[in-house]
Amino acid sequence: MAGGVPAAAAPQGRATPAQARAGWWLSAPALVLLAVGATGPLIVIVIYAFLAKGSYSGVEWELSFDAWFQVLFQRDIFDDTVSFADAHLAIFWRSVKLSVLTTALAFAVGLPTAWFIATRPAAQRTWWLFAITIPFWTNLLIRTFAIMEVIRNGGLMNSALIALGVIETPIQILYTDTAVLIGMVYVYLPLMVLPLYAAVERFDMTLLEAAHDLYASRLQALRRVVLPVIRPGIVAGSILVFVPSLGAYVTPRILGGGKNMMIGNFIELQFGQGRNWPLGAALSLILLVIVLTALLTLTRLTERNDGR
Amino acid sequence: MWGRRHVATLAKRGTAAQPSSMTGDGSPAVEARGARKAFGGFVALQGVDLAIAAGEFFTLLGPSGCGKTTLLRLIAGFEGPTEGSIHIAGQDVTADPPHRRPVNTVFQSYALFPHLSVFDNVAFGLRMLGRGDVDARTAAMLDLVALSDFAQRKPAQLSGGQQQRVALARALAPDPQVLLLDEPLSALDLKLRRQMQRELKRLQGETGITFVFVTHDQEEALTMSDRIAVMEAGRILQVGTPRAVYDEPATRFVAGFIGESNVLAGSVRDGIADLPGGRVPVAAPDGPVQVAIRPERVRLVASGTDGALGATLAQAVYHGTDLTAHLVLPDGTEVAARLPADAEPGAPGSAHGLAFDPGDLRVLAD
Amino acid sequence: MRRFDPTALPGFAFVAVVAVLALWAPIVTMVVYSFNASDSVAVWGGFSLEWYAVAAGNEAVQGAAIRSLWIAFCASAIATTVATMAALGTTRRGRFRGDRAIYAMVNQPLMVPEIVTAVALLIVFASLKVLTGYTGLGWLILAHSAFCVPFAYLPIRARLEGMDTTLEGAAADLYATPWQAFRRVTLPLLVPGIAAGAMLAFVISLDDVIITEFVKSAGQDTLPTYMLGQLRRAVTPEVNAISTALLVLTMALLTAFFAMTRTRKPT
Repeated sequence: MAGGVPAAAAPQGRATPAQARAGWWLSAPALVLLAVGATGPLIVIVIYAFLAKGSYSGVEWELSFDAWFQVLFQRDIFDDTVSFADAHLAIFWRSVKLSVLTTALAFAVGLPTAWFIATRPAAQRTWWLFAITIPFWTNLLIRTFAIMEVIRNGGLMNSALIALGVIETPIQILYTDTAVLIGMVYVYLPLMVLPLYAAVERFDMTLLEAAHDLYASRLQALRRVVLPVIRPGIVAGSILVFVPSLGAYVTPRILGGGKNMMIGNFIELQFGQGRNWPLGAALSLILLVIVLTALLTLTRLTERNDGR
Repeated sequence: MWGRRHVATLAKRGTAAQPSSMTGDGSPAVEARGARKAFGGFVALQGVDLAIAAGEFFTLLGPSGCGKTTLLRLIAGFEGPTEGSIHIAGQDVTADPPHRRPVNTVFQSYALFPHLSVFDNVAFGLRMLGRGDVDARTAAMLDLVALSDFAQRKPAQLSGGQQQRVALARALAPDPQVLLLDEPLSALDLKLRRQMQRELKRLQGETGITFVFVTHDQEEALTMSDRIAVMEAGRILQVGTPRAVYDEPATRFVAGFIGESNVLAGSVRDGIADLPGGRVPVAAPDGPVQVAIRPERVRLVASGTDGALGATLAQAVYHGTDLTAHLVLPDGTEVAARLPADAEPGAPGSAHGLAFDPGDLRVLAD
Repeated sequence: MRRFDPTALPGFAFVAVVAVLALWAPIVTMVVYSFNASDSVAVWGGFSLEWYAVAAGNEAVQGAAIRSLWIAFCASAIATTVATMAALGTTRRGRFRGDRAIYAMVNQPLMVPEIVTAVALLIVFASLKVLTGYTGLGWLILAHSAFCVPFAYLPIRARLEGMDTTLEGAAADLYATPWQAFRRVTLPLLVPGIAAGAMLAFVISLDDVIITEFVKSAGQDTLPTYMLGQLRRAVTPEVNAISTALLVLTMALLTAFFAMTRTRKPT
């Protein structure tokens, strides 16, 4: 009897067992591909984090917690004393600090931008959105090169500032944390603007009139009415900026030079010159856990908001 | 315009289709036997028995959620009944998928294929059946709904009323045994709806196809149907001609849903009902009783008139064509009386008598 | 008196215009300097296509370009195929046990930092390369296919969800078998979604640096990894030219993508 019902006939509610089976079979090729090319290898990382470092590279197949020890501590090669691995902690701290700052700056710029676009006439909006979307889809590497050209010593920014007489000698921005910060805000800004725009576009502007009618100033209306209503968009934008910032590799490598590493570069180092695969695996797991925690926390925030 | 039944192609596909002569052998065009449908814990249809005769314009009428659309989907084959069976032209089609049933549907949303032209939409069913005369028949169908000039347009380029007619032509093109119409006029404005009501009635007369029409609009049901089934909460409360369901509502729900009704509660002894405000002869056994009276059957007479119920005027509302007096009986029951537009019922608070022909009182089953 | 406009927040328009200009200025500068005749990136020496000629004549660039396009083509074809099937499997039917798990797994590459996936693939594929003895482009295509899946899946799924399910019902009502209903109704309506998904997957594959950098064997540079390798203290004019060419290709694909997703949605 149920066999006579086409799959499309019951879009709501629960699928019939036949439909559920078909769903699994149709999804199977994608699941296999992802298991081999993405998810499965992540499990291997977990194993590697608990193995000993190989003498040249790779691993020795024996259980070891050295990698986890090395994340936080270092052993002096001469007298075997244990001390905090200050360099490691500095890298973690820089990564988190730069990611938080990137997210905050992107929001500070992104909200006005999204608001401005959403309040344009419908015909203009498409073009403004296009102006945000095209840079977003442009190769991250290309955009990082482009911003590098702007901020380097002989670049557009320094030349302009010298020409205007603001400074006499170029300011060294490239290869500093500031460069990485500018670069990350630059490359991830569209990821903040787009979800914010989606939220602002749905925002009922008569709510603002109501707020002003009830004696709210512009700032109060923004803080008490707009921001709470568009919170899901703020959360989505923050996730989209914070998560890739924390895992950033290309931008800090190019703009930060060799010294101003973030976690991503530090992980790469363990698989390259560092030749410490277990430490790299452990660091990857830590990064993964931080990212997933951030994702969960932020999505909880939206769900609670939607639940009301 | 065309042969009444083109069932050879359907029969070729091993469907339950039968020549029209066999639908005249006494078996109903559509029959539901104990059809029950539950979605998880929710029972949409509670064991419905229904027989629709061939060539009938049959309407399923009820408020939203009453199960009328579910019943239609059971007939079309989009849902399988949890219990019971569906028969079309005497054949059990319960296990047949939609594409093997000789019925076509006009969907509430029209469900026109947006990527196909009007012509290809109408020709769709004919092509699926592998019919030979696709072009001629499609052209004839477009002619029938007066859309020949729009054959190459896409559905999105048509007005709502035109889309509606394409949906009709598409569903009629394969010459089904039964045409199912799921609130097809609900998206149209009032004027267009009136026009389409007449159009549908004409098409049904010309084609002789059995129409099963779902609506929540009682006026639409009354004007178009040969017979109406009034549904509520997954049950059929009453089946009858429009006149029968209007004049002789079987239950309080039917009385209230079709047209307006005043429902009075009281008790009967020896053929006389003791109602609030007075006593009236009623053909009912002793015990508590509910009676219904249409507002247009209520007359206003002087207070204290013999055989009239005593009532107080609450409000008089002028409608242009007539005037409705809202009155209150001594126990608080509200009664509406439809009066001529020039009636002058007096000021709110004035006392009146409510008179009516005892023959206009309907004793309700519940 | 000027009308009070509650939506005009002070300073917002200024920030917005500056932000959009700031997004475009570096890109425009790069494009302009790719036509610079001077071999110094800082000095304008007149218009020239010299660097495009240099890049086009460079065998390493040729190889990387062909490799990039071939990988992107294969990866987007594979990813789109499996993503279309998965989208059909997870929409237009009721909820079923595990459907959320499928959704999470399909979108997993969007949630895990790319560097983590990259090192994970490095570990696994390095062993597999030794085990199988195969070191061809297949590994890169496999890795690219996997991370392209969600980019292909999301637009296709969105298209399917925006599609009226009664359309397939109407097809069945008009005597179409389930296969005919899919072939004649669902698939034609899904084509813009599939094309959009394929194009996104193509762009994403073309842009990838990190995973490619970790998975590639010797001599398997793609354009992005080649450019990353060329980086010294400043961007060379040749890299500017390659970047501009890639930019034009991406823009062309995206414009097509926009045109396609903006066509009327089925109602």
